[in-house]
Amino acid sequence: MLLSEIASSLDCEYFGDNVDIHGMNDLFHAGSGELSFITDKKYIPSLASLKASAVLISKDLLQYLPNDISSIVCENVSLSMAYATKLFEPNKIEPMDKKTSIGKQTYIDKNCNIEQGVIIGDNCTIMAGVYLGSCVVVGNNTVIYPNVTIYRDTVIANNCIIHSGSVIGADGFGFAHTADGHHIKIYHTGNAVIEDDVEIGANCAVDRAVFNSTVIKKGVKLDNFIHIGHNCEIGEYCLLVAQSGVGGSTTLGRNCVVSGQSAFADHLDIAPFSTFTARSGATKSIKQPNGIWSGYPLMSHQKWMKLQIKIARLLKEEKWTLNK
Amino acid sequence: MDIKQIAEIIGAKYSGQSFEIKKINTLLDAQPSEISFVSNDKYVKDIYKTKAGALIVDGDNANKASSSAITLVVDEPYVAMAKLSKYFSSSIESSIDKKAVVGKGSIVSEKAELRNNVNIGKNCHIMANVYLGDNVVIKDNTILYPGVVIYRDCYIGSNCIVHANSVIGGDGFGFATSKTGQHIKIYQNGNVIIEDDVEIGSCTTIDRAALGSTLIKKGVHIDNLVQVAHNCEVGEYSVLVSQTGLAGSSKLGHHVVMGGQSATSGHLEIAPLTTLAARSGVTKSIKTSGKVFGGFPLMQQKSWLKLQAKLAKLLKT
Repeated sequence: MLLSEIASSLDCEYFGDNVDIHGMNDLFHAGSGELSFITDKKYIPSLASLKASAVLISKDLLQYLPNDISSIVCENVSLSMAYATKLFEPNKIEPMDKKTSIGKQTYIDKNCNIEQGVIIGDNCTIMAGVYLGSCVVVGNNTVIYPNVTIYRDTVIANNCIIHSGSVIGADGFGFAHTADGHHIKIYHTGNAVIEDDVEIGANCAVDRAVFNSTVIKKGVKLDNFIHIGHNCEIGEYCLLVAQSGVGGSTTLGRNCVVSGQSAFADHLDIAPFSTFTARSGATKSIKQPNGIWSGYPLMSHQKWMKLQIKIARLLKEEKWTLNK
Repeated sequence: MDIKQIAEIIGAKYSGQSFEIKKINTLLDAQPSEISFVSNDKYVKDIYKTKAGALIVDGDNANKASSSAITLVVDEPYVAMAKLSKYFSSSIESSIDKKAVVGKGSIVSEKAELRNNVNIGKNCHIMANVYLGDNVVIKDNTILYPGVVIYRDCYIGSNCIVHANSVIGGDGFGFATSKTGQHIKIYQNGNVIIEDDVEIGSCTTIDRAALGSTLIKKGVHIDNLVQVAHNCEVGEYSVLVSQTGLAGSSKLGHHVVMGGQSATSGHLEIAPLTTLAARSGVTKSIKTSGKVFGGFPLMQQKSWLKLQAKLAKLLKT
């Protein structure tokens, strides 16, 4: 699609060469032929090394853009970005021209729904009611229990187990907001990648990335009701216990242990070997590995224990005053 | 499975005679044809009482077993047991040689999948996209809404209602972690038993037991999105409101009420007639019945209200 066509559909002006654009990506991953976007001043330094062919940009940041990159100047970059994603949305179901390949000794129940372009390895078991969207890849020895839904382009590696009712690769929760309070959908063109030896419990949701991939790394185990937001990266051998959630773009280092009903805000970086006790809620990144954390707002487990003792004392004191 | 083969799987040295092992079991429950393991110092004392025919132990405990038991020595007995559990687990699904038996007056959707040896009672209603695994039993007058999945060997009593997309009998969350931080699956070889008159909301999950049964007793009502982990027991007429979570081996007495988003940590008991307010978190057993609790850490609801008043005051000064 030509840049001029994108600009006119967004009702904006474009500057520079009228390049051919085949997709969108963020500032850090965009390559030639891709349209990127800059939503905040803090990303100005990344413009110097930008490899995108064109960028959505506000008027005041235009001066920082290298001359060889085309631009579409818009008032509200986030909003225009959201509208633009719709132009590159892949078909929900790929038209009937891609080959499906199924490995040896793989059992697929007759009541499954397998779209075009799906590749499944050897010794897999795909049970009744499973949906595998277009171009899904499944490795060897993987078991998918009944009524699991795998959206298009998802990659699942070897020796994985996915329990009933889980949904892998659904759209992330991403919207841009208009001045009058409407929420405009950001179409998710990325995918979800599940590496080797991962087990995913029942009724979990691993959302697909806006661009690029949401990644569940090797040996991760998810209990039931785990929510993984778009663009997350869950490090090797992490354990997440039931009813926990990870906000979008948060990265967990290897071997983190997340106890039941815990949660992470979005865009955090969590150091490896961190442990979170039940019901903890992280809102800031954690840089120090091996810590044990509790509570909401999050604090070290030791501090949390102390706090609980103080609260208990508060309850016992009859005439309690602040200035005592 | 022959003990020689077991030794090979877990990487233990064994040069003795062949000996057939039928099952893995706990130290106290194991029979002479079964193998057990010692992974925790807490259970070392049980070595002297066990009837197990074979034991998996580490170097420290190698000499403690009775002379009759075969001992297999490994670095990490718990990891060895996890590796072994795979070989003693049932197949995920078998081919259908016994077609499902469906009782009089029952309606089963054409789009439901009934696996080998399923047994459905009278006047049931099994809707589209329901999956019933091998040997599942459903008693009379039970309704399963669309997309419900019942894993193999589970039992659902009569007059039950299970709402859409709930999963009964999925694997419990059990792993042995090796020294290098890998998690080895402990295969969950038990099942789930749901007694009569139970209603289960949408998208709820009730995990199967590692050994034995996860038990939901008569007249229990469970809301949407509730998590019941492996080996739990929910007492008669208890009520679990939406998004509540029970960790492994929690035992609730009869008529326990748990408010929305409340939870228990594992291996504890809650006395009958206990009420837990919304968002409460139980970390210790509750021994006296009939009380009302709230908060996390848990306290009596009266104290919790007092605490909130004090916190409010704190904010004003």
